[in-house]
Amino acid sequence: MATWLIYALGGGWGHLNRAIALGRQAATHHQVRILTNSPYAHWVETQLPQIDFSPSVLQNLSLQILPLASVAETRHQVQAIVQAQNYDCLIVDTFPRGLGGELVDCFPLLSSIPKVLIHRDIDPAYVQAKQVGKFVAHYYDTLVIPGEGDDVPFAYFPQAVQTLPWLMLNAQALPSVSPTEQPTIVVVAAGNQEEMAFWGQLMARLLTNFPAVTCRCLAYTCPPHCPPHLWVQEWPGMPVLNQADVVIGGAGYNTVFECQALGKPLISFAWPRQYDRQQHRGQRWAKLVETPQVAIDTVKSLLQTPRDQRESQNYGNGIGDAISIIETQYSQR
Amino acid sequence: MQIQLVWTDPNSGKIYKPQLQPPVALGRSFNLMPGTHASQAVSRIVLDADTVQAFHALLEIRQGSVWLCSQADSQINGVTVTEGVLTHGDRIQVGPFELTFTVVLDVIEEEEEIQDAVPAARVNQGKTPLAGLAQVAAELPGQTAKALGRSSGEWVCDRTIGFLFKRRCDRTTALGCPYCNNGQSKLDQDPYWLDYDLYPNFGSYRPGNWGYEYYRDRAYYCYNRESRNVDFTEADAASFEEESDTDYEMNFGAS
Ligand SMILES: [Zn+2]
Repeated sequence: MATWLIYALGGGWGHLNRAIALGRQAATHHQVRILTNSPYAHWVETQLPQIDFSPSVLQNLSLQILPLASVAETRHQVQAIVQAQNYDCLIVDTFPRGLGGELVDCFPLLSSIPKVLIHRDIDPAYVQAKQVGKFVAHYYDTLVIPGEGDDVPFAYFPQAVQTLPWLMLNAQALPSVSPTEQPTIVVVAAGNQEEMAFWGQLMARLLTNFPAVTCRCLAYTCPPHCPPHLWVQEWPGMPVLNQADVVIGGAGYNTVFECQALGKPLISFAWPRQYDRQQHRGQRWAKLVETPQVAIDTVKSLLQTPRDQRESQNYGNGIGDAISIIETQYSQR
Repeated sequence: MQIQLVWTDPNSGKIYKPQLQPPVALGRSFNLMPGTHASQAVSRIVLDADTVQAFHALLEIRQGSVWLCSQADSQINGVTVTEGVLTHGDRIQVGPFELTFTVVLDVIEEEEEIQDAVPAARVNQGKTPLAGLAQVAAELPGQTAKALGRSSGEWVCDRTIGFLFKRRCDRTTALGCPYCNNGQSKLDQDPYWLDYDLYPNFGSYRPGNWGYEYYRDRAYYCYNRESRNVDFTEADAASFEEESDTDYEMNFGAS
């Protein structure tokens, strides 16, 4: 049994979700440690038994949650963990140099450990500023691109491999949806305080505009102005999204690709992020809007088309291929 | 400034560790090396091999740094040079001889017994100007931390670390320290030795070389005037490339 260390540092849900999606399926055959500093990590840890009933998976999968600390201290802690070399393969999500550049000092001493980059899109300005490409070319054995195809900075590197998007639940694992009379709008609310307030106000406007529609807000905390009985705190979010006729959210990785897999129309507000290009992703995979009014108009036109209440089609999940690719990294050595 | 050269004679297997006052000449023939240079006496070291020139190279002090000026093929850390600044721990290759260069300063008597056990010496940080590639905080055995004015018994890591500017690790615990590899790195091992190939002309600080600006601006890199230490590793390096880039890699909550 090999041990995988997954570097999944970063705010928000994306890094943690991708790492768990990979880790929980890999944990049937491997020991998987996920290094995270997500503010949601402790709660997610308590939710894990709900998706994984197998005791062996729960035993093999662990979240290593870093305490909130200064940048310097976090760098040092990550370095100590990575430097310990008590794992067979290092899998780094999104940030090749580490989110704080802290892996740069470690990698020269890790030459015997295979390194895999999960290559989600990152801002080319950052890639250029820190010469990230050179570093990736030199140190990473394999780049796995989950779902974003050629549209990412290192897509044409010789060690790059593409898979389907990574999703938390395979199609077979998704609970079935019973037909409803009213259509459902699900608002996916994540982000900082300011963004939460925006989502709360949007919920209020949706309720006024669509009295005959079921509105739900999927969020970790209930946004201000959102009636608490419409708030759904559930992880993973895919079963909730699967009940929607229309989804409104940002254009982060999970929201976009979960809606795409489930065949749900996504109306997206692209939020600014330091490294992620939501605008870029939204243009390709969602209906981008800039104001609540345009979002409401778009919902109106979507709801005018006949409702499709069939079970969502049997979508694919890139996790299986990714696991096979990663396994070859160390078995060939 | 005192320097030490350490090498093993490939013919006899004997180890040499002379401490010398530059200028120092390296060559095959004692008589064909200069006895004086710029009116200073030259220490002449004979390296007996066909591929070593009669007078192969000269080590001299220029503006506080030791330079290697080579009449024939020499290498510093695997890079062929005709001249270059030497940094503490550098490897000089002359023919089949590999000499390790270290700086020795103000060795105080009470520590002389350790001198034999530990091949490298130490720098008196208070007196050494930062010049050339940084004057390295040399490998001071951790057990002698008190010599630096620390309270007696406090352990500090004595390994050499740093990318552009070499310095002593100086952490009070080596646990989890990637720079010195948990304090296990060899005293003369440079953790960045793999990286120099990625940076053409590494260690060259003259105008026109990419290292020039880093060196010129060294006072901004958390430069400690007392210790002469520059807290600067490759992880930090890119932060100085463009002012607009300094926001990157500063926030662990970003995504
Ligand atoms: Zn150290």
